[in-house]
This record gives sequence, structure tokens and C-alpha cells, in this order.
Amino acid sequence: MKNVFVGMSGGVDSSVTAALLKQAGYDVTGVYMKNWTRDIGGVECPWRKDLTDARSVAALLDIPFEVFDFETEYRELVVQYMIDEYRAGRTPNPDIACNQEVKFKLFLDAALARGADMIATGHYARTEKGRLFTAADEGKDQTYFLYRVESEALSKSLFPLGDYQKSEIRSLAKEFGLSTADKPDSQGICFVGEVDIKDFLSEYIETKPGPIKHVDGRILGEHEGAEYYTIGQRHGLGVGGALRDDSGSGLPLYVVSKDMSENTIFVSEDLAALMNDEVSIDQLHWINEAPEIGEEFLVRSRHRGRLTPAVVTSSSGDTMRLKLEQPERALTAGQSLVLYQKESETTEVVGGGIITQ
Amino acid sequence: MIYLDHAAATPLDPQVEESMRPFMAERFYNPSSLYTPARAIRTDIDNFRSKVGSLVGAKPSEIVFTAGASESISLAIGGVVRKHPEAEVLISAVEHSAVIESARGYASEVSIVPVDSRGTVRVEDIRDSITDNTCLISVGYVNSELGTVQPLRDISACVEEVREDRSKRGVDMPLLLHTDASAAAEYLNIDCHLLGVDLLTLNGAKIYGPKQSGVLFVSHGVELEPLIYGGGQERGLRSGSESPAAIVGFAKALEIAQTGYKQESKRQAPLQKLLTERLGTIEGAVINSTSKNRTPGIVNVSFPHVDGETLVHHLDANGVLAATGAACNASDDKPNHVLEAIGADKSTIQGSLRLSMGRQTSRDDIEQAVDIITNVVSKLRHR
Repeated sequence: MKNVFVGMSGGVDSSVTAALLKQAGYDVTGVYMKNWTRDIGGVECPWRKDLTDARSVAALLDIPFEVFDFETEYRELVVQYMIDEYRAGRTPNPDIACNQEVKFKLFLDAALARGADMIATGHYARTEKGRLFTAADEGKDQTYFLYRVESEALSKSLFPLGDYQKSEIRSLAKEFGLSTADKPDSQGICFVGEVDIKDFLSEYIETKPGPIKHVDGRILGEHEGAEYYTIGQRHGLGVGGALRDDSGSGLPLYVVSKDMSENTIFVSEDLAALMNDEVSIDQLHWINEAPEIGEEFLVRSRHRGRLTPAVVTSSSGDTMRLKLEQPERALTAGQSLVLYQKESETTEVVGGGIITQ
Repeated sequence: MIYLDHAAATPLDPQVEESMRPFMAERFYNPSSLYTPARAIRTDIDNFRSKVGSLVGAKPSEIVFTAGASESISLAIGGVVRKHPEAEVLISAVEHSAVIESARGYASEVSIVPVDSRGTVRVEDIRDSITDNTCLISVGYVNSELGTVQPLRDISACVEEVREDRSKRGVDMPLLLHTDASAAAEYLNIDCHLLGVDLLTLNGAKIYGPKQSGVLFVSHGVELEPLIYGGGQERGLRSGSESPAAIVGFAKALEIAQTGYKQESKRQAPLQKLLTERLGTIEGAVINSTSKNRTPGIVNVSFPHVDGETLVHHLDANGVLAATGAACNASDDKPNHVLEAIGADKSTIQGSLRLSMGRQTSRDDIEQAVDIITNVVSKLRHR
């Protein structure tokens, strides 16, 4: 019998993951990863309740339960990375860093050291022989967050939810009698949860107000710090009505670029300014074979974003350039571009990189 | 399902529910309004106030209705301290977190009086801790985790002596005694004047009454600064339109509790004895609730080297609902301060379980619960 350590967050997905593995006859140990406990901007960090929920489900399933404390490592590897990226004017993805550095490295290693043969998580994804495939539920597929995981780690990982639809998971949770069956899905990014990213960043980085300029050079208003804004952003700029159409209605304005050295953000009412059919990525990571120039893939530039055909046009060292079949909106520096390969039955995750400019 | 967490919450008594119903439906009026059906509710509230007063040996005008014990405690401690901002508050080491945090929150100085290994505070220790700057002493009548009954009358006698001494020496600072009697009303007679307290907190939620209902007894002559300002309800001490449903529910619940406490105590005493004895035979068990003077509802036991929270979840999965400590800090990281205060070591605190019985608890429940606890503890110990 295989010994599996399941990452249990206290949510419905990882609860059902543990239940399914136990039902399948594995020797299951539940593990709560204590990564983040700080309240931000007056919003209570839900870790205590989450831990209690996870512990309660483990007791119901009658499996051993442990807490792995990664707070220090998480702060260094995920939070600091996130702050550094924002400070540099990019828009990072902490979930990707968390999977790469914490769940499929620290957690995996700690679990193996404690006698596990495998680990499991409640991700919607599928894996086989060190390869990564998209989940059956395309709307819930989480492979975008997993492309930086090593093949070696995947070969020791189980994703029991990969073949299910989310709706089935909720009914399974009820069938198993899990107290987390009706718990709402977590919202927002990673540990920051429902906190406004601005509230989070304001506790860690110093920002200065600067100009909001139209791409034609006109100053339309003032922003609170260029770090806070992301490419494609439309709301929260405070320049509503700065430009009007012929009938006098305010035109929507989008952030199209940022100049961090000048602390300036550029906006435009023209969506075309946000569209791009060429993209450069660096910090490349390939789960198995690296793509070659001229090879065709499907690419995605955000979680649950559409899959767009693209071809590798150039590649050197740690950078790669791709041409998209149709323009994509708001290809944002710091976000990831993930490459997929569609076979007849499956869609495989090849890997990807971080979007530069 | 066997419910053994009555110290955390009690089900609403059917008679209480019945008494509340009209005030949640057709009798919805604001008691401060001038028309007849509203004034009828005002009259009812006055009657409930008299009833509560007579149940606790107080005058109606000494009863302030609040939204629960935490608020009563806050009003007692904050209300006194805000009149004497530089003064000191004295509390015992086993107070509920509502008392500890109110004292810390409102008072510039808080002294904590230790307890013995049974959770009892010694009057001599209180006397030694009182300074001329002490304005308030707050000691819970019954400890909600151990069931220990504190020597409240001795404490009030000591307070009286200090007052006389202060007056002889011309010390202006008043000295007041507050008690949180939330865990007492189900098992003991509550007579504020016999107890000799100036302020007394009661909680509807622990006596089969509505949640968020409570009372603060404020003895005539005690001056409090209100915490909630507004329309001046409750003698200006607790503004906000009254909740007649909560008030009638509280009054009814207190009436039932105070009418039946002797009989119910007598009924539960042998159950407590049985539960304590049988739990004591489980390998490694340590009984924490050992005071001779305690209420019959609570048994507090530890299984060192078994995690209390894990134990509670496994008992839950097996149909026994119980607690690790006071529910208010059950999710906290801090070790249980009550067990710490009686000198329990770390693993005893970590592995503690509080079982609290109620009116529905039967001998059969106890027998079954002990069997389940025995099995679960043995399983967790060998995991």
C-alpha cells in the first residue's frame, strides 16, 4: 500500500482529495501547510479556521494529521518574490511561485522525509509518468499555476481531482459527509485572498504619486504609485471622464504601459494598444522536452485564459519569442505564458516562461 | 450525538422560546414609542426587569439588560475604569478572556492574583494585592473550565474591610467588586446582596436562554461611564433600542434556572462522579477539575501526549461533542491560561478536554461517551 501525504488547506477540494485517496485504499496522512498567518488591511487571515477545518476532516476520515510550518520559507520564496516583482513594475503570480517552491519542493521533500511515497494535492490537473496534462473540467483547470513544477516532482504527485468536474466534487464532499462541503471557494490571489493588492503592497513598499499620461503625452491625472497598477487595468485609475466621446460620455481608459524610472503610467482608450501578437518570455521552464524553433503550440497568458495557437520564432539561452495566431490582450510583464500541446485525447503542459515586454 | 459542551452553549428551553415568540412577530414595536401597543411592551420590560431583580435579590433599577456576558463584563470593567482612568484593576488568573481582555483594554494597570492547584483564589492573596489605587476587583463566581466556585462572600467581606480602612484614612478611591456569574446561574443561588458584590454579570446563552442576552447588576450608588451612547435606554448605561424578545427570554430562562438549580445540581452530581471516576481509569488520564467546591456540570480531564484539538475532532467524528477549553480561545495558539494557572504542565494543557453536562444529559450518555473517549484516546495515543 502506498503512503500518501495530502496537502489539506481546509477547503472542499483538498478535503475530497484526501477522502478519495483513503477510499482508494492508500495510507493517507493529511498535512496543513502553515504558510501565511498575517492579517492585512484589517482583513482577518483565515488560517486558524482553515486549519480547524482541515483537522476536522482528517478526524472524520480517521487519518493522521500534521502541520508543516513553512512560514519563514514562504515569506522568502513567495512573498518577497512578489514584492520585488511589483517594485520592479511587473505583475507577478505568487501561486506559481508557491507551487514551484513550496508545495512541490518543500512539502514534497518534507513528506518524503517523513516516510511518504507520494504527495497529493487538490489541484485540477492530471499527471502521468512525470508529465502534466490539463484537467477534465476545463473551467477549473489549474495547470497554468503548475507549469514550473519539475517532472521529477510530478512523478511523485497525485492529482485525484483531475478527472472530475467541480460540481461532482461538491456532491462527493456531501456524500463523504465532509464539514467543508459548503465552504466557499477561496477568492483572490493566493495568500492575499480577498485583500486589495494595494493594501497589501502599501505595507511593504514605499510608493510615490506620479502622473497618469495619455499615450499622446497629455497628463490626465495622478496615480498613487506606478507599482500598484497592472497592464490592462481599467478600474481604480480615478481618471473616469477625463476623455469623452462625441456624445459626451466618458471613455474607458486602460493602462497600456508603465515607465517605472519616471513613475509614470500610460493609458489609452484604444484597446488595440493593448493587443499584441508577439510575445517574449524568459526564465524558461520545460517540464520535459524543450520546444524548438518553428514548433507550434497553444499558449495561455492567464489562468483560465483562452488557448491561442502560437509558433516559436526564436530562442536563445533563457529567452524565447513566439508569434501568436491572433493578438492577445494585455500580455503583462511578470505574468506567465504557458505552452500546451494538444493530442487527440489530452492536452499536455509543455512548460513556459515569464513574459518580459 | 452526545452533547457535552453546555458550558459553551445551551439549547433554548421550549418555554423560553414560547415566551419570546410574540416579541419577534406581532409585538414588534419600539418600546420607546408613544402609542398603546408600544407602551404595553415598555410595561412588560419593566415587569421582566422586576422579575430578574427579584430572582437575584436586586431592585429593578439595579438591572441593566445587555447583549450578553462579554458586553456586561465590558460595561462593568470599562464603566468603572473610565470613571477612574489611573486606577488599577485586580483579576484572578483564571478569569474568562472577556474579563482579562476588558481589564487590559480599559485599565492602565492590571494585577493578576494567582490561584491554587484547584483553581481557587485565596482571599489573603487578594487582600495582599489590593493597593490604594485599586478601584475594581473582578473574580468569576464559577470558573467555566473547571467548575471551581470562588469564595465570593469572603472576598466581598475583605473588600468591605478595605473600604472601611480607606474611609478611615481618607482615601478617596472607591473599591468595587464585580463577578461574572455566567457559569453559576444554572447551579447556584444568585443573590447579589448576599454575595456582597457591586456588579454582577449574567448570560442568557448559558442558561437555556437566547444568545446575545445578558444582564449587568449595578448596585445602587455605583457610578459607571457608559460604553454605548445614544437614546439613553437602560438608565443611560446601555443605549440602543431594547430587544424585548431577548429580555423576556432571559427573564424566563433565569426563572427556570433559579427555580430548578437545586434539583438539577442534585441530578448531575452523581453523573459528574461517574464521569470523573471512569475517565480517571483511562491510561494516563489526569483529572484537572478537582476542587471540592465546584459545580456538578463540568469535568476537565487531560490525556498528556494526545493533542486536545485532534481529540475533539475525532470525538466529533464519533458522535461526542466536547471542547478543549473555553470556546472563546479554542482557536488560539496560546496555551490554556486556566490550566496554566493551576500549574498543569505543557502536555497536560495540550491534551485537555472539557466535558460539560446539561439538563438533557443522562447516565446513558455518560456511559457511552466514556466508551467512545476511551477508544479514541487509545487510538490517538498509538498513532
